[in-house]
Amino acid sequence: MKKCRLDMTIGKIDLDALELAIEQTLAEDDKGRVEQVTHMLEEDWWHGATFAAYHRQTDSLNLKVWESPPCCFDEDDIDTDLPADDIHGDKPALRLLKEMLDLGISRWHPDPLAAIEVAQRKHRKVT
Amino acid sequence: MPRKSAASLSIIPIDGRSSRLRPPASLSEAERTAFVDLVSACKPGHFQASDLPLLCRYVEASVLAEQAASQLRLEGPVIAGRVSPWLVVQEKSVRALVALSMRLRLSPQARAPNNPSRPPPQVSHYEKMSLGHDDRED
Repeated sequence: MKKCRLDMTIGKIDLDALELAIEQTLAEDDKGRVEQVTHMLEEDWWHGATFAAYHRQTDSLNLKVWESPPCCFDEDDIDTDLPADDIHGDKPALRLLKEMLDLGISRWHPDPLAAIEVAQRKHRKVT
Repeated sequence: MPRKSAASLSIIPIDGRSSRLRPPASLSEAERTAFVDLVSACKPGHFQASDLPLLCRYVEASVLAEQAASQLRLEGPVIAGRVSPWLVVQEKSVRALVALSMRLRLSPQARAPNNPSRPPPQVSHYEKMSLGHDDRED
């Protein structure tokens, strides 16, 4: 368990996912982004780590500016009633989040689609 | 200077809904996936609603060609001294793909010579999900 600010603790799956998001972000060619996240991590690890996850998910899913990645939600949001127009794309985000959580994937995983594919392949081998 | 009309000054609303064709419910799961992947790989205005029947035939042929190729890889083109029936399936489905790709302007040969070299913008995964998802399930 890692201790974060406000005496929060997070599980190993979430910690591994956040560390992967940080690793991927700091390996990017965009030096401005690297500098930004490095600074954020120095100020507040949790803030920097979750920002890295947000950034990597947005990138890996090719999301539009107004669309939210799955890490913006948690499992309590999954059964929320959303408006019919849903212009922010919350419905697909929640569907994707549910699929991730059902497969034991952290909501913070930087590449949800790749993680889902790996988990489904493992599941097919076992069954 | 001529006065600008109200129409020319009106704000164009941004509609988050996809302008791409959706797969009809009659397609199989594999065909629906092929359909969504294909329309997502092309620019939004590439296909019109009237192209839907051709698109459906294209993805059906594509899935069938994949299935035939898979069977041929597994069993080989000759089984017990006879030509595998999957060879005929593959030949016919590929022929359909070639013919339809010209009509749908999907092959390099079919594309206009003065096409810009920029690739189409990447499609949001949520848009792909909405293309292949039945909204009645929500």
